Amino acid sequence: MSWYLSLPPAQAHVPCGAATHVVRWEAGRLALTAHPDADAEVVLAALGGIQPRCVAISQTWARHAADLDVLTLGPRSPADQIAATWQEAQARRASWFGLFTTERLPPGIPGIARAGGGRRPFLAPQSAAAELSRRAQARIELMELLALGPAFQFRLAGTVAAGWPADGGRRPELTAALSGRFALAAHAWLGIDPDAVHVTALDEAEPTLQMHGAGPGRRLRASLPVSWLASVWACGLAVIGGHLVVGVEQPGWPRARVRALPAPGATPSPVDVVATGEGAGGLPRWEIAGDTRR
Amino acid sequence: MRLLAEAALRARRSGADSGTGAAAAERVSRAADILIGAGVVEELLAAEILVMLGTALRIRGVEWRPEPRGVRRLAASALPRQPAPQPAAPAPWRVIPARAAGSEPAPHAPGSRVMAIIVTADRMIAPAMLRFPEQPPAPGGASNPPAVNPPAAPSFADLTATDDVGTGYMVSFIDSQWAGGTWNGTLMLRPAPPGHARVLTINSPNGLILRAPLTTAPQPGPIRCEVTDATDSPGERMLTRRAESLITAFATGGRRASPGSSLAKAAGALSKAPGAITEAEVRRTLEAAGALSPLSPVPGQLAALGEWVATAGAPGSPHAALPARWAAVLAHYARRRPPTAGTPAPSGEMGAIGAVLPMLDGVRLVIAGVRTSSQGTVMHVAARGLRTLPWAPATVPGDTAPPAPHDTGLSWWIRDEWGAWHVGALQSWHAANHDTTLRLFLLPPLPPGAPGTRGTLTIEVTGTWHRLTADVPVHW
Repeated sequence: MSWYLSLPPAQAHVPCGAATHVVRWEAGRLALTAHPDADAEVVLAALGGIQPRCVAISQTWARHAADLDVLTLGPRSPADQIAATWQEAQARRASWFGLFTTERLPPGIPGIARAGGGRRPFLAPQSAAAELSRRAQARIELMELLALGPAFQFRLAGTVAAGWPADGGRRPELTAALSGRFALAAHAWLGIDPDAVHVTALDEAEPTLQMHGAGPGRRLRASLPVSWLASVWACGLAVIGGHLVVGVEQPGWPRARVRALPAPGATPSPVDVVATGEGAGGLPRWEIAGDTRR
Repeated sequence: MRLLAEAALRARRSGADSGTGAAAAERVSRAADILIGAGVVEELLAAEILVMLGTALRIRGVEWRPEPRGVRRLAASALPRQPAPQPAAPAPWRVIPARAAGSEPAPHAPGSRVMAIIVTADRMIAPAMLRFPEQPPAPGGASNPPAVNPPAAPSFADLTATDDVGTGYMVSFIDSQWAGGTWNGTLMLRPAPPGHARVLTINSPNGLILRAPLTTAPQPGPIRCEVTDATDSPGERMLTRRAESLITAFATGGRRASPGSSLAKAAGALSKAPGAITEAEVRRTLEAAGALSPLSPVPGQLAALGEWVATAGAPGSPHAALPARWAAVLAHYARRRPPTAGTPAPSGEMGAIGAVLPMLDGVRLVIAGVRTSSQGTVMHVAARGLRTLPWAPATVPGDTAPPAPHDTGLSWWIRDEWGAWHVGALQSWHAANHDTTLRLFLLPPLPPGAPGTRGTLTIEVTGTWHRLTADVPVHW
């Protein structure tokens, strides 16, 4: 089962040369509609030609398809809006990946602080500069990917999460990614303080949820498979009609079958859901099939 | 740290202004300092998490960046590193222990002596005491009248260092202290000597200053040495080091922490590291990271120590719950006046050790020796693999308290032959290529040994994970 089957196609507009081209995501892959032979353009670029930005974006996407930093920078919920633009990413590139900056950059651009607040050239030791610039360049590439917009942000996050098992040696990053996103889903589900949600990342074990205490002091302990990030959260399925979705039995769009529970003590049961349009974050707006409350 | 970073991003969403997110991010930064201090998070990882958090906040409209110290950590961590020494690998130095006093190669240089010569790949490091010959009277002139003031320090630029095979060495001097015509400190001589060189000679225009052998005598080494697991958790180790720093501040700062006194300020500096970290936050962070048990007695002991320091000397001062070693050191300084600062240090007595210790938590150590004077006892150590020490003293802007002592991540306790324990407090350090020379105050000071005698010290060094105990011979 492919996690992305619960997502409809999405597209973004990318400034490419003198034109603006459409980059399309569908079924887990990027398609460059204006560059039908992208591989040939890659070869031409390697021989000294100019690489179209669409092609560069496609390559960048592939480079970061398993990059857990995507989950660190990317959205936590559909309401989590990220202000990343092409202009900012270009400004960062123009400043040698931010390591040398002599002019104050627009707000929201990552850089390196200096005591006193002003931004001045940061002179890294020469032997460290290459490593620092490599890391800075990776962050700029992520900025460019995030500039594709919310729909692509969720789809890239799903791609990354789907590639990592919990025991893949990156459990701290995956636990943080899972906690940060599930806590907000639990808040949307129960109104619980997200800081009171404790999440344990599992492999493909059965999810468990336990509520402790009551009132403002209540705590929710959840054990979830890492695959929840891709198959549920990245598809906008986390909370539907007052149900918390803990798994997907049959992915699909616009109809899917999920396993959900209406309350913390309940047993997850199959629920058919249907996409009724586009919601926040470029994700489908899901409803329980046959639910006439809305 | 990552979970705290997630909380900081959520605080940005729920906060009324961007300051809420920035304040939450500062909490992550403080947690990084605490966990790095406890040795449970590597600096590079902490720096990367903070940099990514800053980026995540800024693309959400919150202007927050890691403080410069975090960026320096990142830069320092990005530098090509010396491969971590392997426990089974031989020590990266050749140590030439000092001969017994008076048995140096002839002709002798009266009064001058090295503790040990530590030969690294590119230099020699030698804690030493050098006695400079007096300037001869001018030809035909009367002898100089007795000096009213101490003579001025001779010019180091006039010194020459050579060996018996003709190698010339560039000499530099660190940790210098003068008393009359005697210099105490550490010599750095570059390059490393050739393998067949036998004698090092340092001359001044007025005559011979030092002759020291360059041949390796049978290594005295520790008489007994063992490395065991540390019995306390990384959080307890960190709090114990803070307690030792407070004991040091008490021992060197005065008898009582009256308001406004230097000791009170030192205690304040210890209770709030940069960013005003409270003890409660330290405990919470360490407990959340699993580095400190909620049932640990050490936080209570640290609190009791703070109370003790604040009331020491007053009738009925609380003594409860303090480990015996702490109490013994505190009692020593509670009944004695601290040494007067600013007086010239007499030459004192030098005890040569020259012992290479086994690796401890990735750190290689050589104990060069000890020197006692009326100003106290200093132990000279060379280390490789030590954690990154701050580039500048950690101070809080606007805070007049003295900076918190540098934390090497190691606790030092030395037991003398009479069974008394002395805490080792970092006085100064000097980085030279991959090696760091350390000067540790031993508090209370050791009783000096008589020249020519031999004694034994028990040195206990505790890192985050392991403890090293060694009995080492001292040649006075």
